[in-house]
Amino acid sequence: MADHSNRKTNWKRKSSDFLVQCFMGVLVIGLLISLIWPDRAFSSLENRPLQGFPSVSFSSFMDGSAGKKMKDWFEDQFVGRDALIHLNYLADKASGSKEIKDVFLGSRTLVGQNKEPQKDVWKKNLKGMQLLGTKSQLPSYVLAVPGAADVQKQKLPAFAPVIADPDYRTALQEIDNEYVTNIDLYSLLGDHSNEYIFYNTDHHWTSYGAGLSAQRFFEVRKAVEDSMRSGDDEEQEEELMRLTQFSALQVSDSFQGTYASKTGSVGISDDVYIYRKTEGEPAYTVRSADGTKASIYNMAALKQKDQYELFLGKNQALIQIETDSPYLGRHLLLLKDSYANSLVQFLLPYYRTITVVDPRYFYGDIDVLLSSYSISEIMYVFGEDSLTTDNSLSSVLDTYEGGLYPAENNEDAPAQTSQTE
Amino acid sequence: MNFTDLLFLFGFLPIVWLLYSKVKLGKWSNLFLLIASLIFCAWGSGYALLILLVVLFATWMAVKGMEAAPYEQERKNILYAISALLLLILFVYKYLPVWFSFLPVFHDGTPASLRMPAGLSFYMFSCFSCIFDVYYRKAPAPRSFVDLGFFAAFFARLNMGPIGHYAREYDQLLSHPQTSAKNRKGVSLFMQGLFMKVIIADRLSVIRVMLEADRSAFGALVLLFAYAFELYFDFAGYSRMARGIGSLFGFEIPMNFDRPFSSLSVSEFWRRWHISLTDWFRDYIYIPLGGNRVDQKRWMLNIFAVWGLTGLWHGATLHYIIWGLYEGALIILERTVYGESMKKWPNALRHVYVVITQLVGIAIMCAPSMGSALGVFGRVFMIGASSFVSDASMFALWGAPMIWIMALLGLTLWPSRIAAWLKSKTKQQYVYVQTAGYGAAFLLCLASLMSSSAQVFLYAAF
Repeated sequence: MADHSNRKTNWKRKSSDFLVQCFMGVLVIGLLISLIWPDRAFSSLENRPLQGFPSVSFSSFMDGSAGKKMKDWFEDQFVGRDALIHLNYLADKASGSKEIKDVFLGSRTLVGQNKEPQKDVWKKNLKGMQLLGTKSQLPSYVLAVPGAADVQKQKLPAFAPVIADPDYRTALQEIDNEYVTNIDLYSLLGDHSNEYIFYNTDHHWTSYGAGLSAQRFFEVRKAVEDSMRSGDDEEQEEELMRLTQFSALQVSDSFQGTYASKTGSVGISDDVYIYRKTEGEPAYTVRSADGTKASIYNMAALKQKDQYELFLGKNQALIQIETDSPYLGRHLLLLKDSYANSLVQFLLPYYRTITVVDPRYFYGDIDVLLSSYSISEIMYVFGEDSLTTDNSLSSVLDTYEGGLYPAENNEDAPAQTSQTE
Repeated sequence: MNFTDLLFLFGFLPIVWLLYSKVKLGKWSNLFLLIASLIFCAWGSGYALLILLVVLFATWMAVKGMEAAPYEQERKNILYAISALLLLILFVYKYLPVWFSFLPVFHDGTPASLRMPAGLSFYMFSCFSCIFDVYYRKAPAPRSFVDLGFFAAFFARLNMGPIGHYAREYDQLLSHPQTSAKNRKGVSLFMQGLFMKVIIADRLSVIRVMLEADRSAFGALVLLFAYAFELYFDFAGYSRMARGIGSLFGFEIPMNFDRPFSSLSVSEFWRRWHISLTDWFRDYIYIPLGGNRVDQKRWMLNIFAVWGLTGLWHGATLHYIIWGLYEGALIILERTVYGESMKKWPNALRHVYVVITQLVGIAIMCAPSMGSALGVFGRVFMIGASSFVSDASMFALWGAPMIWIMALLGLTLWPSRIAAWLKSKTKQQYVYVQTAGYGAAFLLCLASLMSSSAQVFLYAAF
């Protein structure tokens, strides 16, 4: 009896030790492996640089920044970090969660939530586009790219609360004046919402989505030019761009974009296509801070995490493209964010020069660009998030003739459709 | 440093525990834990360490002075002096930046040297507990500065309590041996707390943030529940982790939450929610004011004084004080108006009463301002609401169904019942089932922490 009791006590002690030993064992092994494992400088899964081992000074110790950096370093360099991020995604999916970090989890697709629009930002951006069109008297076209959450509702989980500002949409539709024309991409892409117009793992549109938009742009441009042409003007023979004139070439089936990075998604990837005009593809050169190239495609990007950099490479302040297109008088100034990068392939055959400016990185003057490159048209291509939350466009536009915007007290006036200068 | 920092989980905790367990520390064990606690504090900032040392040293001088003082008046003078000093420190770090934000020193934000160190309100109250208990001769003064430091600044409860009660814990300061049972209990409590914080509270936090921008009536109602559940799982989770860590070092930290939402009255709720704080105010403010052995008017005044101070302890802005007075008013009403009739109500109705009154209370406390809290209440009754229901309010439920299910289950006895049932079924194999269960939960917590979805502890702000 006593023997049985002893055995029971021993077993109880051993069993209680088992839990503690397992717990502490996991912690110690996790610590040792993390310390031994070489540090990584960059996470391709999360597409961001990782914190290296910090240096500690007296001031950083006193204000607590050293402790914070040390914590960040350990978390960033923790062994199995990528696997754990994937596990979190799988656990969230399995538990029925429909959103991770502002990305809605659809069926084999990820759809990003829109950023909260900032009224003062989008008003200033829209007003700037109007004012530049009016003052420069150059035909200007606005391609505001909606998010997939706006036009592909069927991909969203039930009740997904998509952020939208109806005032912004109304103001965008009312931006048109004598020189400025909005290309209504909300309707266009909405009509094609069941097609592959946005990547499943990235916020950008696909080349196909960009191609559809380019086609609509050229249709609208022709209509605008026809309406402006007086009866005596002779119509210049120009081929109207059709998407069917282009052939699609798949270059990747393994693209995992920003949403994949944010959520750690598993088993979802995208195909990437480039489009080339079947007949009449012009020869061209691409000049930028990186030098002169013979292609707008950066094929090396297909071997890296962000395969969208296939289109025009990394973000650059200014890119100048010269083509041997027959349309000698067509010189485009393209003010844009990264959405335009996959659109450029559809513009090449129809412009003699395309001057591509990314306002987030550009610190020059608009006047200089307009005169130096004999600009004949202006095109704005921005994702809705940029247009409604990023004021770099209005900052660049404000360089026109030493200050585009009227006095500060008019800044809050609603965007208006002025017809004359 | 937080309990959910990987550096704490995989670095600080196992290293300190292994050294403590494997090295025969003997009478140096409290010194070892004090040094570990000071390192833990210094990780937050050097200034935080300096303030902690000043508070501990001042308390130490005071209690030793009181012990040695030959006259009662001298003891009283020391009590007043140390109380004034500690309250001044608390005022400078907690209230000055809010009430005197117009001062030039705060124009560019609070400077690092004046930023409130984590846990100041908590360890300050532990120090007060020691001072009062020594003054009232409930317990002798600590044997050494080390014992006092370990009692007030033990890293298990430095950041967010539970607040230490000196007289009740005095014996443990003399000896707190590790045992297998304590270790096992420590790991279990820590795992449970980690899960409550990382898996439930942090996900409810995401829902709460989403609903704060929603303007529908149903959204406001769900927001109230999200506020309440998040606060409970966040703080109760932390408290459980603190108890677990204490137990791993042989030190029993009393329970701080005891299923408060199962209460049948608001008075009972406050005996089950943040027990260490309620006890502190009862022992050191309410009872010295006369408690309930006074006439009714004076008693009401005492209650309002205690709850007004409880509100002020939570924060420097008006809505905290209003929240405290609201809770005090409920307790007075229960005692003087409907307390007796309440006892005849069906239990379900009493639960509903407690839940509704506490949803209101927690919303007042958690909302950014009183106006914001009133806006939420108004919307519940369609005052100022844009609609009855919205996509966001439905998505808050539909988008994370497991979180709500786990939260509701976590408020009941079901987790304990399931564990007991498993134990009866698996008998001697239970330890392996338990280890596997905790292992899976830990992996999920780790995955969640890694994906950077972990939120700061809510009570760290107090």
